[in-house]
Amino acid sequence: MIRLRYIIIIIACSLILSCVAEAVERFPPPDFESGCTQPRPTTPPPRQSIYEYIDAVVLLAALSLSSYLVLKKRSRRAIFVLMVFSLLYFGFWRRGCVCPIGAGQNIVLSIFDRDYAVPIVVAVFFLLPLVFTLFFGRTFCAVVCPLGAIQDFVLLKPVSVPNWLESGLRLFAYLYLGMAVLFAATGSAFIICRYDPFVSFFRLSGNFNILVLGGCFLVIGLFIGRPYCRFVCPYGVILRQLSRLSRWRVTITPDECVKCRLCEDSCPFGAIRQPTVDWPVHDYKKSKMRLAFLIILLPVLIFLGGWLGTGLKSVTSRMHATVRLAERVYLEGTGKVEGTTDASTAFRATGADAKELYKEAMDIRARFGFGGWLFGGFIGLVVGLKLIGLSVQRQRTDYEADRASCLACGRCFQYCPREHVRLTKAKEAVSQS
Amino acid sequence: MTLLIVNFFQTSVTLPKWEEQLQTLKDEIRGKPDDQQLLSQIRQLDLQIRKFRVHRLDFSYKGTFLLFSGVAVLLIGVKWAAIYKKKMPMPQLRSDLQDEQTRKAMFARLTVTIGAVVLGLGALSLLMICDLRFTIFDFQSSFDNRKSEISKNWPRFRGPSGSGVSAYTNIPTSWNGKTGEGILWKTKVPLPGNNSPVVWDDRVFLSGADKSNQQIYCFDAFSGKLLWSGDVTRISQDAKQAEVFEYTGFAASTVTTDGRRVYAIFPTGDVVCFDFEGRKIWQKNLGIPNSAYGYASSLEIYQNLLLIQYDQGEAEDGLSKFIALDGFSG
Repeated sequence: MIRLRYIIIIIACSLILSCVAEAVERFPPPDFESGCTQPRPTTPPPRQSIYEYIDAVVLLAALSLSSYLVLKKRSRRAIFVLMVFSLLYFGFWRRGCVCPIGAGQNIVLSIFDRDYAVPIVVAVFFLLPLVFTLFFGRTFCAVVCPLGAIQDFVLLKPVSVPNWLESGLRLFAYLYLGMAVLFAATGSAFIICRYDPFVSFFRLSGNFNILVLGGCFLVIGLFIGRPYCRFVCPYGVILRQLSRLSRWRVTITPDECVKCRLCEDSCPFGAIRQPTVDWPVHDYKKSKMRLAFLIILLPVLIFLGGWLGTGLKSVTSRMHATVRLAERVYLEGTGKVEGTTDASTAFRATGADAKELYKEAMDIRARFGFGGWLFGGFIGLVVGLKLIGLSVQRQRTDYEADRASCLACGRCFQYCPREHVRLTKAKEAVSQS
Repeated sequence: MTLLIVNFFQTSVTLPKWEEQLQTLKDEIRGKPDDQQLLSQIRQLDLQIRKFRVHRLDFSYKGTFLLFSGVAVLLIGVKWAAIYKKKMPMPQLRSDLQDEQTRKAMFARLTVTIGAVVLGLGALSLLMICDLRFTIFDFQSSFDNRKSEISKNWPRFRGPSGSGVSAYTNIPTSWNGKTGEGILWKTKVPLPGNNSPVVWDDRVFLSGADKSNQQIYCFDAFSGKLLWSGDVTRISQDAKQAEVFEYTGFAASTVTTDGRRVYAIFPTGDVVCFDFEGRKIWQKNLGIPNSAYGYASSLEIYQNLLLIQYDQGEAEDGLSKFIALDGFSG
C-alpha cells in the first residue's frame, strides 16, 4: 500500500514536471547579427494525401477490431493492447490530429459557412465512430480514442465518484458541446482543438497553460477514471445519446446475471447500474407530482436559457477576432484604454473605416444573439431533461452496464462468474477439438 | 527528474537576469548610437542568451522524452504487478436499498439544480457587467470635454491654441545655463532639430533628423531620461530633393500630440504617428515639398484631425495645400 502511494506520487510529479519542462519558452529571433549565417527558411512539403486515407482505413480497422474484441471476444487484455496501439498511432504518431472529437467543429462550420468545405477524411473521422456507436456502443471510446487511451493508461487506483456528483459534473460536457458548436458555427474558434488538454503531450510541445491543464487531467486521472471523457468531452455527449440506441451493446455477463454482486464496484467509470427495488409507496404520489412539475418547467428552462444565451452575445461574440478588434479600436478611439495593440495598429495601417468595422462587429454580434438563443435553449433543455430523467422510476432486475455511460473498456467481464464458466467451456471445446 | 528541475530553475533564474541586462544596454545605446564598444557588448550578450536558450531547450526536450518513456514503462509495470495482487471483491451487506435509491436520486437532482442555478447566476452577472455598445463616437463633445485637459498641457508649437500662453502661473521665468538656475535636467538629443518641445503630463516630445535619419523622442519630464525613440522611415530616398537651408535643418517642424498619440512631419514629406509607448501607428509621405528654405510649418490637432499647412513654391504656383488627415489611420 505504501509502495503504491510512492509510485503514484512519483508518477504525478513526473507528469507535472514534464509539463513544466516542455513549456520552456521558444527563443525570440536575434536582435543583432552575430556573424553566423542564418539558414534559409524552408517550407516543409505538405503531408501526402494518401496518408490521410490510410488514417481513415486504420480508424475503420481499429473500430471494427475493437467492436469484435469488446462484444465477441470479451477480452480486456486484447482491448488494452489495441488501446495502446491507438494511443501510439492516433496520439503520438499522428499527433492527435485529425481526431473525431474536434472534427465535429469542421462539420458545423461547413453547415453555416458556404465557403468552407470539409475534407472528406475529416467527415469520415467524425461519422465513422458515430455509426459504430449506433451499432456496437461506445467501442470508439474504449479503444480507439487517443484522449481516452492516455487517461485509461494512467488510471492506477480508481476512486468512485458518487452518482449525484457525476450527474452535476456531466453538465459541463453539454455546456462545452454547446459552446463549441456556437463558436464553430460563427467562425470564431475551434475551442475543442484550442483547449485539447492532451495534444501537447502527443506533440511533446505546446502552450504552457494547456500543458498544465493536461498534466492536471492526468494526475486526477490516476484516481478518477477518465475525467475528460466523463465530464468534459463534447463528442462523448453525442456518443452517449447514440449509445442508448445501439443495436448491440456491452453486457457484464455473457448469458444470465446471477446477482452475485461481484461486479458491483468493478467499473472505475461508475457505469454499472444495480437492480432496482420497488420505490417506497409513500413517495409515489410525490414523485408523480414532481415529474409533472418538471415537465411543465421544461419549456420555462428552455426559454430562460435562451434568454440568457442571447443576452450574453456581447461576451460570447468576443471569441470572434473581428469583434475583439472592433472593441479595441472603439475603446482606443474613445480614450477608454491607453496604448494600442498590434491588431489595432495593423487595422489603422490599412486605412479602413472604423465605422465599417463596427458594423461588421454588430452583424457578428447579431449572429451570436441568434446562436445564443439556440445554445441557451439547448442548455435549458439538457437541465430539464436531466431532472426529468432523475425523477423517472426505472425498473432493473439485473446488474447492467449503463447504455450511455459504459465506455466498453471490458474491465467488468472478469468479475462475472458466468464469464469464467464461458471461458472454461471455450477452453475445453478447443482442447477437445 | 532532478536534472530537469535544476534545468528549469536555472532557466527561470538566469535568463530573466541576462534579459534585463540586455534591455538596460539597449536603452543605454539609444542615447549613444555611435558607441561601438557598447554595441559589441550587446551583441555578445544577445548571442550568449540565445546559446543558453538553445542548450536548455535541447536539454529539456531530451529529458522530457526520457521522463515520459520512464513513466510509461513504470505504469505498464505497475499495472502488470497489480494483476497478480488483485483481491477478489467482497460485497458488503446493504441495509435499506429502497431508502438509498431514493436518496441517490434526490441528491443527483439537487446537484443538477445547483449546477444550473450557478450557471444561470454566472450568466446573469456577465450580462450585467460586460456590455459594450458601439455608439458613433462624437468627436466634438469629446474634444470639448478634453479642452481643460489640453489647456493644462503644451500639446503643440506655442502651446494650447498656439497662443503661447500657459495655464500655469507658477513656472520659472529665468534660466541660467552656467549656474543651473531654473534648470532641472539636461539631456543630449540624439539627432539635431530646431523644433520646440511638446509636453503632455510627464512626457516631453521632440523630433530630430539629419540627411539620412529621422526620429521622434520621448523624454521623462521629471528626469530627462530618454524613454523611447522612434525611427521614421525615409520613404523618399532621393535625399537631394529634400535639401534644406542649413539654419532650418531637417527637423524644424514642432510635433503635436492629442494626449494619446504624437504626430510629426519632416521636410522629406514624411508624416508619422506614434502612440505614447513608442509604437508606430502609421506613416505616409505627402511628397517632398518645394521649399527654398526647407519645410518648417508645425502641426495642429482639431478633434480627430491632424492639420497640416503644406506650404510650398510661390503663391502663383498654386502648390500649397491645407491638409487634414485622420489622426487614427492617417
